[in-house]
Amino acid sequence: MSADAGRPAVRRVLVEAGEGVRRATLDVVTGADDAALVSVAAGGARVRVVCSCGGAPTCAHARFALDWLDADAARGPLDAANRPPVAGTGAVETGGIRGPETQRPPGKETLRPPAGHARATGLATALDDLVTTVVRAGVDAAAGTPSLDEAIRRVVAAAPAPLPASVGRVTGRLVEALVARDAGCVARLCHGLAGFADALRRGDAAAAYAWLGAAGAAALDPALRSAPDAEPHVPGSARLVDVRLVEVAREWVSTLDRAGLERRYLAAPSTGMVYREERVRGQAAPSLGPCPRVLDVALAEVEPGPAPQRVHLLQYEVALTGAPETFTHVVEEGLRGFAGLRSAFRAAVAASPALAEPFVGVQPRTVERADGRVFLVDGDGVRLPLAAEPPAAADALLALDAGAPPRLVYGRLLTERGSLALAPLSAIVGPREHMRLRRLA
Amino acid sequence: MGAPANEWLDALRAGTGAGDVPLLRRGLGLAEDAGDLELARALVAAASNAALAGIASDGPATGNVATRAEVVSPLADASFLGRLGALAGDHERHTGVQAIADVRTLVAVMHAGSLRVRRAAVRRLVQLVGDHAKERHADERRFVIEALGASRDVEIVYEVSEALAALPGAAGRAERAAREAFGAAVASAERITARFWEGETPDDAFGDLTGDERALLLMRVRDLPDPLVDHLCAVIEGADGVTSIEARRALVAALRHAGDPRLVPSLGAALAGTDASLAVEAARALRRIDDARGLPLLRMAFERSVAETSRVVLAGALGEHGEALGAPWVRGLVAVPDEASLPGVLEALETLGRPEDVERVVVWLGHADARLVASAVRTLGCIGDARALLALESLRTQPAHLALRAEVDTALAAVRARMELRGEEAPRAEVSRDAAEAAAAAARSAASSDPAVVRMRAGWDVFVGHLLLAARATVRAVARFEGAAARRPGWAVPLLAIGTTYAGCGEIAQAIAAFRRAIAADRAAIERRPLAVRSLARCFLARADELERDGRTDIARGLLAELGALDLRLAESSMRFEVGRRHEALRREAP
Repeated sequence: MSADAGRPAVRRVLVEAGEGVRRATLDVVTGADDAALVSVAAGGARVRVVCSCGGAPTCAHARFALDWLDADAARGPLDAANRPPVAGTGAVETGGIRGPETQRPPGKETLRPPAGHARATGLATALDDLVTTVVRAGVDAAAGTPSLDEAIRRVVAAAPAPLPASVGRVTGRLVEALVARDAGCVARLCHGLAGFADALRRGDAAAAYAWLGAAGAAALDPALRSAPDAEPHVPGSARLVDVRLVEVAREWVSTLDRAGLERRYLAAPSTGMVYREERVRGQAAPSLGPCPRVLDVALAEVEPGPAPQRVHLLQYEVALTGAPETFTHVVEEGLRGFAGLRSAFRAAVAASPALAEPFVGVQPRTVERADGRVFLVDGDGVRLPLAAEPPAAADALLALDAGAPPRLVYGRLLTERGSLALAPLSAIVGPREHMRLRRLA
Repeated sequence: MGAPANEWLDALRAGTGAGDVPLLRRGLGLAEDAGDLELARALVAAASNAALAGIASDGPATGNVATRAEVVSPLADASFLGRLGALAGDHERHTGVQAIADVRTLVAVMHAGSLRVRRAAVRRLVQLVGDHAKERHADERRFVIEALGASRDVEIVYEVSEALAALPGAAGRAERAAREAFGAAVASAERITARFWEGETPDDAFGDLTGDERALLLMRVRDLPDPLVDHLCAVIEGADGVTSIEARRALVAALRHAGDPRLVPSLGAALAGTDASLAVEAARALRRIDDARGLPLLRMAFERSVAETSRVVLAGALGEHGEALGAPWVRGLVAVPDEASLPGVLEALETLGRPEDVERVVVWLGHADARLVASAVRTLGCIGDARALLALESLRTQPAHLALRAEVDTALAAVRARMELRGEEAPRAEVSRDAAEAAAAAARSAASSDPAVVRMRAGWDVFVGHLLLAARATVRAVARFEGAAARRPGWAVPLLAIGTTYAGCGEIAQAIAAFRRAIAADRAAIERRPLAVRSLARCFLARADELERDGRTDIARGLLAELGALDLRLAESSMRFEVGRRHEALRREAP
């Protein structure tokens, strides 16, 4: 299946079968720099072809895929050698994520020694130095010191290039927390960084991929590229197949640069799961469309990591959200009671002290302003304060004033001066027949 | 690990570089010889657990959390108009535009206020003379309809259009008829947008519309359905996959007057983006949107920006939102402008300009570049100082600038309306002309002279001015004082002399303008002079009387409130009592 130089080839086939083959996704390589995923789905008498290059059904990838399938049909049913990895044979479907467990055992895997081990150890040492520097100087004095700048510079130098978004985000948050003298947040982030350093030394591939992403982990350890299928080995990664996602919020968060990372939050109404897309400032958009939008995803890959997990949309169709019913299922998934948020936040942060930034949708009964703060209040009278970030988002929420409290408020959970707060990012407002989403950030 | 949980957080705050490390090691259960790294790891783990355990679900109120953005007047203008500009949000209902019931005053506010105030004035006019206000006299309704119909202010064109559509008359019928064209344009745009996102056409949804349809849609973005605005947002953010950066810049520039809060997140993304030209256009669009998120976005961009051309536009946009963060920097550029930054400087002065800047801006009315002249005209209209009137009237009659007549008329209307609202009147023509010439000559001379010489010559001008006054040569005296003020900006003495001269001649409306300039230059110096305080207070009281007799109680109340804000300890007790009594009486009469 590997491509000869200059000749088109099918590198990999993903077959989704129910009663017979329903969809085949082919990884088509037409040249050294040109590859695309072509999805061929049987829909009654029609065959639907979608290509990740956007040119289907007339593009070279689609034409080659159809020719290849025709020839393959002449050879007989797809054999096992042509199938791997096979997703969703109709047996497994959990939370909109199909079939990844069948491919690789769950749990932690080991990075392949020894080629990249020195680089991983170097990064671990730099992370330890950063933690030690912060603890030596103290939260009240560390911000802006040359030793902190130097420690961060060493982490950036030791990390794979380009700097993985998660590393940039955590170091950026650390600097912000030091400037704000938020000892609790600094402690959590440093604890997480120290844990990551341990994981790198242990060769814990799952942690490496959660922090560095597939490309970053592979760049840190080139041995990963030597897999027989020439693909990065992604422990615990999952695929989404045929799932509808609704983008419900979008925000720019800081990394080492202010507003250096864009996050898009995609909710799956059928499962209640939320995923996130990310792009570093200056990079091309990871997928097309405004916020809000509806995405009919034919194929997507989900990276391991704390919720919301990062998703890479490989094949999708996008539509604008004109119909109010778009949000009906989404609203039903919102949390009605706020009492459990604190324990949920603790659990998420305890599992991933540095990476966890829980994203939730809550249904307030009322919105109150008291003592200079804005609170969402649930049916039991439990109050959830809105955070100062994004700037003035709380005021924008109050200004929506659709005659009733918002049906749902989406946001990131965080701690602000020792208390749990919600950074509001969007709200669904209006009567049931005219529900609409308003971005706050 | 026996220490109380918050001790680990305190230890982390203090750092291990200076603390009692052996004790900390024991507390954390580490060996005496444990290394720094081991200590650091143990401490952050313990502090992290302590912080997690201590998270409250509803913490105490803190002053800096999620508070409404404070609106600060950029000019600290204590006049009636300045107070209207500074009042926002909840206050507006009781003390701002919503409290004004006089349509003449509201029409003047519509011409001369800040953008937010002008918009509010138009809405208030419709409330007062619309269908639900039958008790209003027909003449007032006609006056309002004529004023709205004559408005050429592009920044409030949406509000004026809405107002006219709600009112009877030919203009209202024309506006209502235009809605049908708008509905057709929306339907057309929705069809094209749906096809675009279904992948049936690679063209931008608005690109296929006719020029008229496109203009109509972009001017009335606030009435567009969500999917169309979402499409615009996708284009602004570069998330549509086809639009070039040049086309994105053009779109954001076209959205400058859209005023739709739904665009704020996307404009914020463009503002923080890597393309400086797109960011500048986004700042201009954000400047004109009434939304609390605009100010922090612009502030962050201003603090981050280093390019002069971007910074100056951002400073102007901040000024529209009531923040004078960039005012000192812009004022520095005004003193030594260069051709490259001049368009941006003039734009910034629309919101940050002070009466003292008028003479410097008037100079640019003679520039060869018509766009620069138009920008200077707009800036003079926004500053609204009487000294611009002569220059604008002169420009209006110049054949070379006939194309600017609409802009000049708008600026003249704005200056006159502003003077009306401040209770001021323009000096007589001969006084204005001589004063303007003297000021221009003095400013040119001061620019090329030693500062010590400038101070001496300014003092000499004041001395000669007083001699001329003694000889009853009032016009020449005022010209001398204006020359001194132009030589030494910020020196209150010549401005005070102008004020007392006008007051002595019984021209109290002109005197008030001069006193205001003196207060802006050096308030403390004025308040220290008993004669000045008395003369000023008498002028303000007399003018308030005149305006009240004329039925302009809002403006009269504003004058008294402005006077009350000054330190009047050096005025007579009876006068202080009278100011307080009159202000209270007018306040009680307010609706």
